[in-house]
Amino acid sequence: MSDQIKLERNSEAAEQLANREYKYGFVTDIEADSAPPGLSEEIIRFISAKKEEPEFMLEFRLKAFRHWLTLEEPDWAFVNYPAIDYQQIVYYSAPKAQGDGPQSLDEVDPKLLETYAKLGIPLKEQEILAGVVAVDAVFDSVSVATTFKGKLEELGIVFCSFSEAVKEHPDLIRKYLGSVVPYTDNFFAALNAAVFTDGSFVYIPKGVRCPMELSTYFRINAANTGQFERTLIVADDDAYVSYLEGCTAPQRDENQLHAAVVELIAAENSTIKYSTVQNWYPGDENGVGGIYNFVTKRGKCAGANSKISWTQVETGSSITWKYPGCILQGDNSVGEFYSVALTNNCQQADTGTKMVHIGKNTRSTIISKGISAGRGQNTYRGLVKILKGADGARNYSQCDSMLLGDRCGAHTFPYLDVQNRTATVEHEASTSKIGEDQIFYCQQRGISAEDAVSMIVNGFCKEVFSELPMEFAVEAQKLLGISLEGSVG
Amino acid sequence: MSRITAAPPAATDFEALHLRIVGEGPDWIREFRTNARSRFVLEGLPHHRMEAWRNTNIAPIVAGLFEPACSTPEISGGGEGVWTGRLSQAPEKILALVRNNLGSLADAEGHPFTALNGSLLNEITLVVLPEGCAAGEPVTIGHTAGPGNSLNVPRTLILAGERAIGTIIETFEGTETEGGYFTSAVTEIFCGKDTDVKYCRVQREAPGSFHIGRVQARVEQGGRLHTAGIALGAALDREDAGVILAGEGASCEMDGLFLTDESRHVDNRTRIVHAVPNCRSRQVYKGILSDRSTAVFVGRVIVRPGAQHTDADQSNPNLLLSDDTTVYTRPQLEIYADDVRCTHGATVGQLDADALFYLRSRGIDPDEAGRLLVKGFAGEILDRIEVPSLRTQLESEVAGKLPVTSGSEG
Repeated sequence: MSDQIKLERNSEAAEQLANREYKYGFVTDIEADSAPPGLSEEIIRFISAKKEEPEFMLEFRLKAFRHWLTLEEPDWAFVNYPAIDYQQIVYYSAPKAQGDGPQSLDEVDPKLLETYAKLGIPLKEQEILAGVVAVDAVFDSVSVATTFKGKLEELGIVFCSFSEAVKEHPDLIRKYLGSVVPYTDNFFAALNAAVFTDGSFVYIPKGVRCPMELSTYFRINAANTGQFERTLIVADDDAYVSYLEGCTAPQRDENQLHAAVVELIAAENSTIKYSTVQNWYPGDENGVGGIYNFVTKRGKCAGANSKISWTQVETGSSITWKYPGCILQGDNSVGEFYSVALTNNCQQADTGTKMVHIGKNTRSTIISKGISAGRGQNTYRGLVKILKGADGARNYSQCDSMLLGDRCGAHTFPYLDVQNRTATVEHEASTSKIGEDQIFYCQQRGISAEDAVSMIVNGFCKEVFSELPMEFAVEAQKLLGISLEGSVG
Repeated sequence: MSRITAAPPAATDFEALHLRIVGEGPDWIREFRTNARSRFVLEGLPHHRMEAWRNTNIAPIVAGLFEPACSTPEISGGGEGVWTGRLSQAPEKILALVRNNLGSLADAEGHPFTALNGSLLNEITLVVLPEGCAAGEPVTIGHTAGPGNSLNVPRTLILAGERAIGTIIETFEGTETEGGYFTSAVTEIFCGKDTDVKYCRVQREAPGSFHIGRVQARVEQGGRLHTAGIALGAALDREDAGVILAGEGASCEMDGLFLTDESRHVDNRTRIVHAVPNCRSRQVYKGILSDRSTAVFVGRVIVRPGAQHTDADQSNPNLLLSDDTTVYTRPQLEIYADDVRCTHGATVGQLDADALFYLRSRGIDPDEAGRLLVKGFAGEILDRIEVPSLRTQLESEVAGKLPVTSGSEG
């Protein structure tokens, strides 16, 4: 790779980069697949070249990068973190190979293994998740994907990695990329547009109901593309798709920035259901390490009677800052947002949704459950905007918070902007704790305090879990139990 | 005349203004003004990119030319034991109280218009309810804005000693029917231990005027405070109301009612801080919007760490009576303690079609039916005003302001 860089540019900066590379000893084949830290047009050209992208992609990236340079990092979220040095981040990194990770399960942090055991993940998968056999995992998941690929192709469904889609379906990418989250949208979206390395692309043709749940569970984890992925899902007229995004592999890196962009486009009468279980590494008990999860997710109900439903379970990341939203443009379109966000130890979350009602008789539902424990700070921030033409628009929001312990915080900041009098908008929120009597009652019946808490919290989140596909719901419940461990004495 | 700017040149303007309008006054008040002026210069004028001013555009105020005017509040009522009056009439004992407390609640940091008020401060309205005093009748404070393009800076200080009971009514009006004047008012309320204070604020400024008001209160152990803010006038009205519940067992109830029509804009901000355990707060702010008017409500309840057994409710229902109204509502909870009960809610909608149908099926014409429903909506707030004469007067004022066509379109 270093040869490529030298060939491509001769500037001083390039030399510096090359020197730096040397300094860190990027000599083996594995390191040859990662860029030096820092962000510049050169790096972007490098990523684009590495991915063998067509010219329009490079232009898109460069435009985004130049715009990003003009932006200031936002600070309005209710979270605190030390300033991020964008020149210290590695923007292109190939899959972590065996040389990087632990060689066998014996070398894996026993805490991690304990967690897997509790999750009920089989040993083989434990190895994959711990990164012991990362290459195999990639292999595995590719073969899994290909098994179904044939079946999906029969129906005309496109489900592939973003890089593949850029090469194989450039017209679709050109048409939809940035149409919901333009690179001008916000600081992190601009950054992502400039440097995103991979992600998924889904296209469901007219009238097709995707017969299975599409998932990035393995691929993203195994590939460890990590920081800047981009997902684009397009459902054409009368199509249906349910998509699962799993980030259940704990990452061991320290304070890694994860700035993804997800765009959904739903045409007439189509439905997209997007479910996320996010369990990035949350940092340790003292808030050291963990992922900064600054994600822009937005769906556009472009056609009449279309529907987009977001379900998220956020238990990981040291900081979560994201608002999966819906632009309800088509008449009678429906947006839904179901969320469980848990913050324990020193985790911080500022999450919620944006529902923008443009079309007539558009409806949106927001159910948000925030759980704070330890010193966690959990903020719900949601915008419901009813534009002037949205006659008969309807919104219902419910945000409940639960506090466990007296050092955590739960905050609710809804924004309701209404410009149409025929609209009905309601917001309700409440805060509660687990009653000692409730725990006592459970203990009396032989249930340990910890199980009791887990049970009560799961009951509190029931409305959201019922929206999750079966296997995710089970996992989410277990995850909550684990994430809450030690929070109740 | 001078423009309101926060740029340094204005500071010299202010100096000249003080001397001309206010005179020197005692040293401490001069110092108070100087500090406030520095603060005003430091803060600068707010703009819509600031979160606290996102939905309120003060450009018309910034563009205006204003002539600072002296405050001439009219104070009446109170009864035996209650000391009311202006700063200029206050005896030494009262002056000492003012010196110690003025500005200690309504901190100008982050509040440029509080700083502006302080920097032009001339007269202060004082209400002192001594320990154990039960005011026989409500204290009424009437502020009448100066004519034309005057800049008015009414300032009020209410001090309630232990176990004191009293009701204070503060009204803001303008002499001009089409005034382009600007009022920047600040009121501070100190409620001592076990007090029971009721404060009602009625804003009926002239249609073309600007009103920026601030009420800041502190309630000590076992004290009770009930505030009611009724906003009926002004082209642009911004009200910041803050209460600190500083002693255990303190409680506050805040009611608000705002009626907007034409292209008026009302922005209500509340901030209740539960600083200690076992306090209770309740807020109901209701909005009735018609024509092209806009309204903003941002209410925040903060439960500080350790403020266990807090009980807080907040709600902001809004009624939209025309197609061109806009409402921005942001009820907010910020909670740092686990054993609390906090709820908030906001609704936006039009008149209930079923209720209208019910009334019409009983032979009530659509307009009257609409009026009845809106009156009922406002009634929840007005019914809680305990001074009968004021309540009756407000009821008829509100009824007079209601749009006639509300029902027929619903």
